[in-house]
Amino acid sequence: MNCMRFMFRSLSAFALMPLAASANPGALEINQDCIAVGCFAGDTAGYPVTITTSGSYILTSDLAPPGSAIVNAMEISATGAVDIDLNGHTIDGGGTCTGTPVTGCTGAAGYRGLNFGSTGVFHVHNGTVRGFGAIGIIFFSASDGTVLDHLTVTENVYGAFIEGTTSDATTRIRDSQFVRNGQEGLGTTNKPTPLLIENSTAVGNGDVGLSMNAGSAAVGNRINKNGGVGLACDSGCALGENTFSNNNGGGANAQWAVNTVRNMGGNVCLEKATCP
Amino acid sequence: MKPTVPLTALPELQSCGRGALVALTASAAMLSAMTVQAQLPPISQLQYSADIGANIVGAGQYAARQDYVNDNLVSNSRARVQIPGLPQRANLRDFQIDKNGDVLFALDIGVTLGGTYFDPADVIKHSGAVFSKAFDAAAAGVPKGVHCDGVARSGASGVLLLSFDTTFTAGGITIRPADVIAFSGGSFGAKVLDAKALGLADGLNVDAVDAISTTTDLLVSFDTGGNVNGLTFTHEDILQLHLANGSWSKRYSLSTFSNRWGTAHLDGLAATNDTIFRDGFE
Repeated sequence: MNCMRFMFRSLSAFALMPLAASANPGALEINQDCIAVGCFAGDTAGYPVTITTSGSYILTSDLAPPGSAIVNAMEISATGAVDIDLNGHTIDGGGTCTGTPVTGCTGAAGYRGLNFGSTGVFHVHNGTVRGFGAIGIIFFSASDGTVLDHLTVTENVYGAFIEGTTSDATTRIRDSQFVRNGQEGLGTTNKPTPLLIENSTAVGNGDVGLSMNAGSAAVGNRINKNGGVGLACDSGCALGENTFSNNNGGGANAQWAVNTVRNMGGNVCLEKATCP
Repeated sequence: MKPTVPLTALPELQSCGRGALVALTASAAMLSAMTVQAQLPPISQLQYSADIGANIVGAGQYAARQDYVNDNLVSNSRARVQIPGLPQRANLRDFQIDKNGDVLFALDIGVTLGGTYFDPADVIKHSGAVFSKAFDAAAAGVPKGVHCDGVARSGASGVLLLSFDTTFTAGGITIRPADVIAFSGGSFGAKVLDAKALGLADGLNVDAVDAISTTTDLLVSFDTGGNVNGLTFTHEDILQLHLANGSWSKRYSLSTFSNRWGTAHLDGLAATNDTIFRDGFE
């Protein structure tokens, strides 16, 4: 190995080194260094990090799946309660998107950032998931009580997708940003899964900003400059104190697409006199 | 002079040619001038642990936060040491390695080991495959919520020296986070490091301590950077306190051992005093 390569490798390693002291005593640790050997029981060396048992987990460095393979960063197969504290760190799939709203995304090495394949009450918080070639975060069977908060989900092809266990299993999303993803910022899969989205932003996504199923509610969000409508709902959804601007091409174009609006009041469309 | 960073930990450097070695030597000289002031007593082996898992053993060589690293300063070799039975969710805080190989340590969380529950303020002794309490915090009057973060022994086999992360009062003694206090016979004794008497800043907290098998000196690390008597330090620096006159010097700067120490925090420390092998018998 020559000196330049050594220095470059050293600098690269520096960028991914553990960045923060552990907070959250008792949580199992995940960082770029431990991934090389397996971070805890049930997790083998290398990506993806596999979580097979319920409990609390904490990132102590940024994570970046290697560029040579299309892999998920983390796969969660544990049932029960799983808390993942990103601890201010970024899970970076390596991709970037162009345009606002986004017109294309390229360069991703990671496939999915966080892949929740099991049934459980999940809590993901306090960090960034970016640059994945498929989806930033996906839940296939989120139980009632699942929460996402203080997250930035950006420059993934799809931002976050949530599929719940039943039509009563509400997933709560609050204080988060779904920004400049290639397609939808936040969406739901075919299963009826009500969402409660509060105090969040959906900005510059290539298609719909926030896509919800029947029975969902969106309160206090800013929904701006998405390529499709800012907010979509197949059936009855409650909306209150949301701000819409420049979605769907802006101007007089529809800012939202909701079959039946349950109007909680206070919604504002900045370019239109009337709003849901 | 022996390089501060073992070349065995950085094999890539061996192919970097003369320029890199010159630069490394110059850097090592600068770092030595900055960091190594007190050299006595000589230390043959240094053991340390971090508050996060990281490659602190060497490039690509990982140690979890419940492990410690044994750094042989004579042979320039390092090894990860795992205390059998510790849960992966625990962080090894400070530890003491006795002459007979027993390891005394504190953890950041309460755990049950071998059927016994240990509080984060207890000192756990691992002897053979048995865990027992070397210090029972509740019996000593340590309030719940206080954590032990400093474990050492005075001299080669003397009394326990302890430090805690929160100010509390036990037996009429107010114990502060930067104090190191003796404990024997079921009660706290004299402060070996009296933070107030030495004029240490209120925010400082000793989170690693060792007496180097002496009764004259302490190796100390704080959980933050700071300044003592004009000596500026970081959280990964190991300071030496000469107890007779209260003078401080910087003994080691672990950032010269591994770049991981820029972000990992040193929170456990032990040392082997080389003079026990240089007493005229060898």
